[in-house]
Amino acid sequence: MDLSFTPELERFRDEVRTWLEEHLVGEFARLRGRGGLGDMDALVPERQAWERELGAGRWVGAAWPQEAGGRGLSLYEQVIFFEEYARARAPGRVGHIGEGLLGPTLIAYGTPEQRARFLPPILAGEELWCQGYSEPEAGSDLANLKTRARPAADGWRVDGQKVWTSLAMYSQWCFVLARTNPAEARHKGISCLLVPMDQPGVRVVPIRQMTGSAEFAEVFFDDARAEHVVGPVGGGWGVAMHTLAHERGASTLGQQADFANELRQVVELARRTGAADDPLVRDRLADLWMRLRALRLTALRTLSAYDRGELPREAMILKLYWATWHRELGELAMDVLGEAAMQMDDVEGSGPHRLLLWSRADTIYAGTNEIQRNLIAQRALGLPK
Amino acid sequence: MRFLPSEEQAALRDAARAFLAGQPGPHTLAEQGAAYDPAVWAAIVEQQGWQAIQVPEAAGGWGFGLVEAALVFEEAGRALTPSPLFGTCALATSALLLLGDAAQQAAHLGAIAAGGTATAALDAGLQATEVEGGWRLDGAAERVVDGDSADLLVLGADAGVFVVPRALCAVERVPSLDPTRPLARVTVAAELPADARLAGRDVEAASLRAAVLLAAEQVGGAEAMLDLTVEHAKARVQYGRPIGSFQAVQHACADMLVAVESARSATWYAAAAWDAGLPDAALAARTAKAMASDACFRVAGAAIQVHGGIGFSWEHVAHLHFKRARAGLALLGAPATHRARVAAALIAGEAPWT
Repeated sequence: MDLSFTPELERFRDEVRTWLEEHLVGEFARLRGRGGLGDMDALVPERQAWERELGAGRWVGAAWPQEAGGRGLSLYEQVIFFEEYARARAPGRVGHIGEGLLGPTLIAYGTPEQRARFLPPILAGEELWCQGYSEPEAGSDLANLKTRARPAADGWRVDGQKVWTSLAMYSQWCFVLARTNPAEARHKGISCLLVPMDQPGVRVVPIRQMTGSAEFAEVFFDDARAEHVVGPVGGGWGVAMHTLAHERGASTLGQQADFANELRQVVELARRTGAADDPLVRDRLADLWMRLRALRLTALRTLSAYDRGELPREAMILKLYWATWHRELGELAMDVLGEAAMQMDDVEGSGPHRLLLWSRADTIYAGTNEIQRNLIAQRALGLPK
Repeated sequence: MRFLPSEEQAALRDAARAFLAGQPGPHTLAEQGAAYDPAVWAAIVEQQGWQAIQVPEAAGGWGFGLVEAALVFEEAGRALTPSPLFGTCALATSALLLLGDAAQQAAHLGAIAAGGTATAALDAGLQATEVEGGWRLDGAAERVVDGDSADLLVLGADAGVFVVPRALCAVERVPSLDPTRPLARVTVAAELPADARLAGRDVEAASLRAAVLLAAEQVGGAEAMLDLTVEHAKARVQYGRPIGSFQAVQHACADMLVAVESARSATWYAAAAWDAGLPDAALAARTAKAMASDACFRVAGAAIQVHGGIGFSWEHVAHLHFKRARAGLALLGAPATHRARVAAALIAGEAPWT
């Protein structure tokens, strides 16, 4: 076992840290700590300007291969980038769906023309993407989706409804799963289409969540036009699974640093309120700190295994583990406030009330805790369906 | 950065697993009330050399670290083979490594490397009085793990930690919740030479080092219970289907895996941090002990539940793991005790964030 980063990786860390220090200044300075979970709709135009700044520094799509316009960062370099980004409290990304989900999908399944058309604007921070997967009748059971696309003279026409679409109101494009062959059921006959948002056939209705904010939206398609299908027509399920593998894999690796910032704020709060003298609060603070360590260490283990070309079973526990952890942090933050918990704070970013309310979503999106336990039991432990 | 065992470390672990799979299981001895089978210990000493792993080369050992030892202890926890391994290689070896000077290490760790047995009870609270040419040691140490089988006892007193040969102690077995881990009451009323007192004072560090090995043992025990439970859930048919196809059972098993793998991450890190001399080694040891103890007990309990009636029977190995897990919670600091210490560091701003 070797717990140290090589001198090359430490140099890379310095490069990232220095770049962030030099660029998170001026108009961008006030974005620090903003735009995270529960705050994703804050200062969007300003954060898109930051996305362009990142793009100019070639930090958007840095994990993509060089031939796709990325830097081809190794897994360790990606982790270092995420850690430094969180440590600098750099703003929540508005381009992460294009960078982390659509981009890798196009690199794997797109035609050369599609890659040439869509990858450069993502890298430059010019075009934002949203993901049209979930529907009212297709949440955990995605294969139950009903949205349809039919061939037309100028491409495809899409009809149906998506829901819980992050940042739909700010996006120029949506990648949509739709049924292109109504005769086929479940996983068959589904295709992945790229739909421009700025057209009469697309209507976006923001969903106000229990947090009071509206990061998500319903998207209605009524004879909406689409030119591009990613991957084979009827092969959308495979494309979707590839995208979800990205959603549940590399893009969550840097998040422990954000969690560490949040836990540190709760410890500070406990010191201020005097809750730090309560043995029960102390026990839970220590427990959360320990489990956060274990989360980071388990992520490092999976990284080391990926590096050896293995897919370790412990990778499958991460989503369940961090979602549950985060929800408990939200609950503890409120206990630390004591009676003052009754009064809603207006703290921006990661105040206790935001933590409490937002973390209820963590155990639902990207695979509920129940679905995660099913996956662990069936795929990691081999229990029968 | 490579947070996985090296090829050599993995080979050591695999050899340990294969060797222990060929040894008699814990049941026979637990029935007989014997501390351990001397033939098993002789085979460990002669064929595997585990007693020498952590002993410095100068004292006749291999000079390996806590990582290698932890991987062997994972396997020992999985197999539950009764032997004086824990007393000798976790408790006594850690105490002698951290508290002994060169001469004391050469003598006592040398004896261990050669196959001698030992144990330690650093919180025994004996009374030591300085006398002409040495010390007089009086008192009784309660619940000394592997005390009955130890040639050498490392016992804590008010004036330091003392190495006492078995011949100078009165040792009496006491009933143990965990039948695979014998306990003894050790009474001492003896005069000892001056060099019987170990040079070092950092009893806490010695105890934490041993706690990492206990955590490793608990990870192995928890994984053994998980493996047996998954096997059972696939094979046991009720209502016309394997019970492992029911979500309630699947979710219990998933939570067991989460507990095992997160405790393993914490334990491997504690061992590696100790070997690398990292500043957070003590906090990492506390984290490992707290998480692995909790995980092992929870997993052993869930294993009994998923096994149903058979899991409650004397014949099944589950109760031995459950008893080992519960006794281990209380050994070398309960999880809540370690969390209290971690909380103090956290609130004082002394705990690391990366």
